[in-house]
Amino acid sequence: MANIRVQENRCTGCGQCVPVCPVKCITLGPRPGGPKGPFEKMAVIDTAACTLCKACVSACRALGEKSCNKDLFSAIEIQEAAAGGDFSAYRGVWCVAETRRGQLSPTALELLNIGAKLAAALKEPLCAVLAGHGVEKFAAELAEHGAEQVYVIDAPELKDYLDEPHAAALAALINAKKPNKVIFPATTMGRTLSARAAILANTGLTADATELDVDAATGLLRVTRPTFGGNLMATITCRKTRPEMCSLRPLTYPKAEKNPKPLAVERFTPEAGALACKSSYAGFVSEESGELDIGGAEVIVAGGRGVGGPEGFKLLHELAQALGAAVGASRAAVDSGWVPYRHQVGLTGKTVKPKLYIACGISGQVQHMAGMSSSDIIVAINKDPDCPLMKQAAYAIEGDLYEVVPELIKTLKNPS
Amino acid sequence: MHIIVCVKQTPAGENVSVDQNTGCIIRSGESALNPFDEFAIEEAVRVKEKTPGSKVTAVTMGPPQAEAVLREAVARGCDGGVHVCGREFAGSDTWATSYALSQAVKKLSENDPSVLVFCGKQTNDSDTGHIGPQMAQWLGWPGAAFVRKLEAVDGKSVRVQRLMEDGYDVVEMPLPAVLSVIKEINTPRIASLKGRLASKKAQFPKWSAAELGCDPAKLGLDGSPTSVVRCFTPPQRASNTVKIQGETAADKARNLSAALKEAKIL
Repeated sequence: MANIRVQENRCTGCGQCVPVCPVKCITLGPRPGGPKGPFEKMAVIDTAACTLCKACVSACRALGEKSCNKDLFSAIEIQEAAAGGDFSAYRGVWCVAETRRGQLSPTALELLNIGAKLAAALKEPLCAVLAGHGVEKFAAELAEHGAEQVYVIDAPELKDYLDEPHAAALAALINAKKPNKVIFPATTMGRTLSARAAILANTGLTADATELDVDAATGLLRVTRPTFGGNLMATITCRKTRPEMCSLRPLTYPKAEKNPKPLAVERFTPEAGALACKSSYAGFVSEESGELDIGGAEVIVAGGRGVGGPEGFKLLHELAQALGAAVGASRAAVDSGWVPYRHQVGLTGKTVKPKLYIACGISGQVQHMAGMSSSDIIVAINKDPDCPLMKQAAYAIEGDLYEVVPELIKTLKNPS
Repeated sequence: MHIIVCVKQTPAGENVSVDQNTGCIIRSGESALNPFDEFAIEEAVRVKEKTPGSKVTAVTMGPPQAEAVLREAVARGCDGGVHVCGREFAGSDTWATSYALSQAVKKLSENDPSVLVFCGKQTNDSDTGHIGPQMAQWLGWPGAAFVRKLEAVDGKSVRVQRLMEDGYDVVEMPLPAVLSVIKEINTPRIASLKGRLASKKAQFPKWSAAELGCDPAKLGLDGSPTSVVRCFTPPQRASNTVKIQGETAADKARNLSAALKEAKIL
């Protein structure tokens, strides 16, 4: 079993590891061999309470990297079982191309963009996967954007998205063809599908990546993602199993440029009965017709408490229309009932990464910032020049949104 | 019907800050119930209130102190709880955690098909959303994530609305099933006095890997396919804010539009 220990000769008893422990299982206690020079105490870990999260290991290592005395710090180590296995049969970088309601999701081309870079670094083929019913027609577009091979699983059971048959189809293909890396889009469907497929394919999965690269020495996929609502970044690898799988946050990378490859389609049919499914699809309801989803929008116009009521959101909708944007909202606006939950940006809503985020009457509480701070350009319109979002924004307008927004709509509609 | 709700103890969101020196999260305050789990507990209790002869059991996996979230779950209306606890679970990623929890759900359901499991959308410390769908897969049960509404539920089946990017899907499934719910589904009540009193007296059995019949090779840090290799603070945004000037709102709007066009954003 994995174990954690503190190396007495490296620990200074500085106590930096104590507050980083999420379960508070580290205390400072006497050294077993008595005080050593200036160091009277050392870190003591209550291993019964420890969850082996490695927060203390990272903290102590960070101090070690900064210290000029290389014999100190980096004192906490976790002994893990060695990763083994021959993975040479696993080849290729796969991008799972999502389709919904007869459309290819834009995430498919975003995945092909980063997928091509990973495939080039590994000198392995770039492949795309289409699973659904009547989806082979999208293969040409994927080949045109760099996919050297397109696997197609076409079955009536896959017409609408249901967790069970889609995961079973994908896992059957993975088990048969043995890819090295599989990238899913971190959409509603991709998050759920990848989670189930990881169990069926018996392999590791990392969620909602915002950066992907390949370790030059080991060829491992390094998946970097925000945790703790964006307060901390973690890089995660999957050493022990193949394929290495992850989901990638939409809009993290631009769509792949055209890079035509000869169309190479391979149809795959799972075994009879493999797509059996207990759940059934009973329909789809489009909530607000013609509205863009904030998760995939390149421009978002968002409103907060300062909007003051539902009528203010009509104004923001108008601005959004002029910009071809989606409408976002802070938790305060959603909880007040001014706008439905699907618009909520932030920790308890959605995390978005548009090119342009226009925040109207949003002060910028940490919970909201967690959901939008990775936007490329932030514009803030607020009466309060000192609120956090006005300081974080690239462009800030001090003023009443009810005066500024109508003027902005006018300017955009009639550029002089 | 046996309703099971999976909960986790996580650092309370408002008490998390980052040490700029070591790049590590500092947990200054107390740990708490994962905020997304409040909606799962509330929905579980609502189903119980509508379904005669049903009960709600909370399940958590974590170190000894994680028992506090089972007490919180009872205070909020659950009938009892079980604590998956032991050194062998430490360091589990979502693959291994969902395996251990699925073994606990299996033991609780004891071949009774009338079982409905609720999870929160994700946790506020790792934000993956994997556990619900992965548990369902280990169990071979149907399920749905991002559930915004239960349209109908009885002891045999459930029909739910699943929030999608372009609207919502309606999905039906027989029990047993696993649902992950989002904030839109309800407004959680605060714990009642009766609930608080019950939670003080409640006893929670501790289940080890052996009692759950777990394969030790699938547990903990060693059984987890993924591992964290590095943590760091995200790069700070350059905060050289351009203040858009102008006498009137119209001037400011024009100047903003011009600035965005000049920067090739519009």
